[in-house]
Amino acid sequence: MDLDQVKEIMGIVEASKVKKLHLKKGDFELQIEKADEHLPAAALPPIYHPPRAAVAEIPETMFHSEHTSKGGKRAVETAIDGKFVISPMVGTYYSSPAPDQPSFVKVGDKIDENTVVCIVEAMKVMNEVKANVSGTVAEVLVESAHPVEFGTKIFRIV
Amino acid sequence: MKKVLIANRGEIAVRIIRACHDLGLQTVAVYSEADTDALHVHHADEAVCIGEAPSIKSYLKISNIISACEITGADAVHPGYGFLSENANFASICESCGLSFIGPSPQAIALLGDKSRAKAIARSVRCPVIPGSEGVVRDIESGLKEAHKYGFPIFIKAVAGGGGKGIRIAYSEEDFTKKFVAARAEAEVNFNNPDVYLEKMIVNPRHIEVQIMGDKSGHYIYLGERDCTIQRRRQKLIEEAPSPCVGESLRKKMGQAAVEIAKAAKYHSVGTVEFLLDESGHFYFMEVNTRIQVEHTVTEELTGIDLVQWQIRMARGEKLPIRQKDVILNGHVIELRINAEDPHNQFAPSPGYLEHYVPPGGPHVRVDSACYGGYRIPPNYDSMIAKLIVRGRTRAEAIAHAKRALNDFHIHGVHTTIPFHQFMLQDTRFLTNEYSISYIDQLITDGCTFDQSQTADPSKTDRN
Repeated sequence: MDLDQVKEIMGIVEASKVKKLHLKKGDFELQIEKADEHLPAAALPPIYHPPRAAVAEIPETMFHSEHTSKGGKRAVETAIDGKFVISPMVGTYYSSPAPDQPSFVKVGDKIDENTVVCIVEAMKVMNEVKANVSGTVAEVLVESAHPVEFGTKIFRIV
Repeated sequence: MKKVLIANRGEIAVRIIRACHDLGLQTVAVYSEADTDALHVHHADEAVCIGEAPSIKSYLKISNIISACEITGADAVHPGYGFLSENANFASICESCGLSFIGPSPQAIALLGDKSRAKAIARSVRCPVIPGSEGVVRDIESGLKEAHKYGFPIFIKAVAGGGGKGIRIAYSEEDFTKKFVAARAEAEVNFNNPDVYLEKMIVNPRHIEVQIMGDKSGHYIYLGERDCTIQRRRQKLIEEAPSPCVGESLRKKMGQAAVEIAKAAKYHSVGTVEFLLDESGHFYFMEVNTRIQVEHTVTEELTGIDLVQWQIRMARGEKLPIRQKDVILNGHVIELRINAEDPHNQFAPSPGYLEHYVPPGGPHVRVDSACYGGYRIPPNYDSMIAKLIVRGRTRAEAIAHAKRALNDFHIHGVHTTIPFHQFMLQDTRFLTNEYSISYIDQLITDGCTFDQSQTADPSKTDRN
């Protein structure tokens, strides 16, 4: 087996869903293992919607999907209480004005409607986001430098 | 091209996602808060919420759509129809952000989107045009001068209008004086541009449009015509191909005229050139739709060519795989638009919860839809439930298949236009092709509520 053939096999594995490949031919042995892909969505509250059940089969499930999913998601939804600062636009959330500067707000801070709580960057424009709610920051729900969509809950406020 | 963001919703978004997936491309859906359960959101690989329900805050919000491309890594945008599809500014912004806009160039959109400039292009390639003002008419005096050149009735049309909106009819000098001012005001409010032009109203025309395709290497073909004469208030309800009023020689003339117009405008991608056909078989250029259309499905079923897939392929530089001689029109195709409207009650919109939705199937039947049982049709957008497309070897056969398919289409929870179509499919005038563009409006004026028990009597309804 020559280098070109090995490269070809690596390309095929890369493009496929195969995670591990062990190939043995005579005294030639090749082992390929893919590193786990880091998908931003896995680290965040869901922004990108996971594939849903086929429509035609279970229409009712789809209609009520938010309420019937078991375990974590439902539990989290009933536990979450309070007001939220939601993203007014699509873009990338930043918790501080610049990388070397402290966050605009942290848990425990008191804020009012006009407090600038974060930046959402869209098309290279840094947009300052005002809270539009008042209270105390109870939880930060998004990691800095992660994407947000319209309506994404960024801060939980009590 | 690896990942396409579909800047649209509803059935066309579903259609585009299917074409992308057929090509192995990844897809990103965008949706408003009213569309969280929409079918296109479920079909796409990823989905981004871009705003509140009103279109202007979501599907028309260019910044959020471009940002959605940024955060998902989409490298192409398909604008669908309506919304931003004919917005040259949006096409231009996509280009400057390095996104492939799946459609014609911003320049071609701007050129052909301006109705009076488009008409000038048609004239330049010797395509017959509807007699009318050669450009914008700025005041009542010059308007009246123009009107006298070709006589009443006269259309007053917004230069920036579209989708059948921004049009008034003047029947006399006095009428013209009133309507001219009103038309300018309406145009300003609706399209941000008060400019209007005038056009002679062709009496009893048929609406015939030609589907064209052009690749980026300058190859063009036409794919026959569609007859969209059955309209209510300029909204198409039934489309069919081939047109029962168009023979081989006329088809070739109109097809070639359409292609010449596209060439002159340096238009690539798919597009449609609309004409009016008068009672003596003369055709007149009307306008160009610089996008994929709702009724593209009719041409797809007639020719076997996947227009949306080819639109994407041409956007990434592929050349048309066939030449004009390879285009075959096979049989007869009819599309019936099933909308959430009540035909017994002036087509009043009927959004709501689909308790029951079972579309027809089997041979000769295609349904393009974003609805499903349990889906709640939001009130914020168009009223389309589904497009029912049927084919047959002949028009009569297509009609028979359409009747069967309509009977099998079970929708409960909202009013639909199914009864309207059932009425039309046994209406004498429809069956014998004796109707023009004002037929449906005339039926309604005469009190028809499209109950099957109440068949229209041809002797009662005037031809116009």
